[in-house]
Amino acid sequence: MDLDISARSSLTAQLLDPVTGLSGLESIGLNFGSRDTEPLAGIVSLAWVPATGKVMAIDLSAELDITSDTTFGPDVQTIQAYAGSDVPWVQDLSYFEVALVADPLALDAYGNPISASRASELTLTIKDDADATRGVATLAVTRAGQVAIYRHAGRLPGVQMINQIAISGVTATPCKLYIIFGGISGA
Amino acid sequence: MTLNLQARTALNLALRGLGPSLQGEILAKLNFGRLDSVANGRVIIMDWTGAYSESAGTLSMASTGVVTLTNTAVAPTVSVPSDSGAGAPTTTMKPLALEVFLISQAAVSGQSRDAECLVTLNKSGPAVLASSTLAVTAADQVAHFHWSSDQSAAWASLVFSAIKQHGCRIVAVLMGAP
Repeated sequence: MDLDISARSSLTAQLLDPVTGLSGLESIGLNFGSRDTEPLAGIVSLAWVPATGKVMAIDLSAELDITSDTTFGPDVQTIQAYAGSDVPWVQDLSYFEVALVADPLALDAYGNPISASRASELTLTIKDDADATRGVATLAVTRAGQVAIYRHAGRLPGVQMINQIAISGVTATPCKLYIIFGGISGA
Repeated sequence: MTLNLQARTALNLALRGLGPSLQGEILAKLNFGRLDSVANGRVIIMDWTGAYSESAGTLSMASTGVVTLTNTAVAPTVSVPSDSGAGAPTTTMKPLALEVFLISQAAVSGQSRDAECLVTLNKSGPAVLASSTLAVTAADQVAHFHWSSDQSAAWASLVFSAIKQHGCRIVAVLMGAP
């Protein structure tokens, strides 16, 4: 279970630091596991630019129906999706990762970083298809370039499946949120 | 922010009972994000292997030690191998990263391997900093949960509840700063 070369290249390109041109975000999208999950049929990565007070929810059972504050809809980008005609996460979401990344500082005319706040925070809620909460987390960063991560690899107990990933309680200075998830193919 | 040599050695020892491939997989997954404002990390490693039981168990830890064991007579091993700052090792810290591995044991005839666990990290209040539901369905599987975040509150408890004790082991690494 891993990103293929195409997906990896696409994801890496999205994670490049616009100031330095370096990735620096090696911690995102790695460690997709191996024996703990079945081979993936599809991986989807999203990037979102949070702003204070905005919310977003991803409904996995409705073919990736993304509910976002309307003013922020265009900022949801699909980085990579491949799954044929199937919607793998409907059957079994085996892996997902949410990463909050503080933007780098802007540079002045002399190339020196301009001091600015990079403190951002949000709440992540994961629900299953019975609408029960299966995971909650606060993700926060305080400095430029920091990354806060929530990562889950493995099935839910029994027959329940992860159905919704919701973002709320956003307090944001310039930052980005990356959501990567994948699952096995259904019948 | 990563495990220092002392903490990594302790973790290697904690994982000694696993097969080489499982050890390799767990060590490869250790990933504490990029919280580069932290210089002096503190580490707590908890290792627990319950007896095979049909009862749902609960295991709770706080900075003062293990505080609750329900439906399990097996206490976890808790080690505090590193305080790279000044002073003696301590379990008091603001938590910045948590890794939890739910590992199913090798197959035994007549025993199932459908283990489960709800893991919750709380700060005072109490308020949930992070929680996740982990499950394995067959022998020799690993389910993994990672959380890393920069925040200033001290940790209050790390709770493993609704543990379906069907041949499972839980290894948790909590890391933070003074």
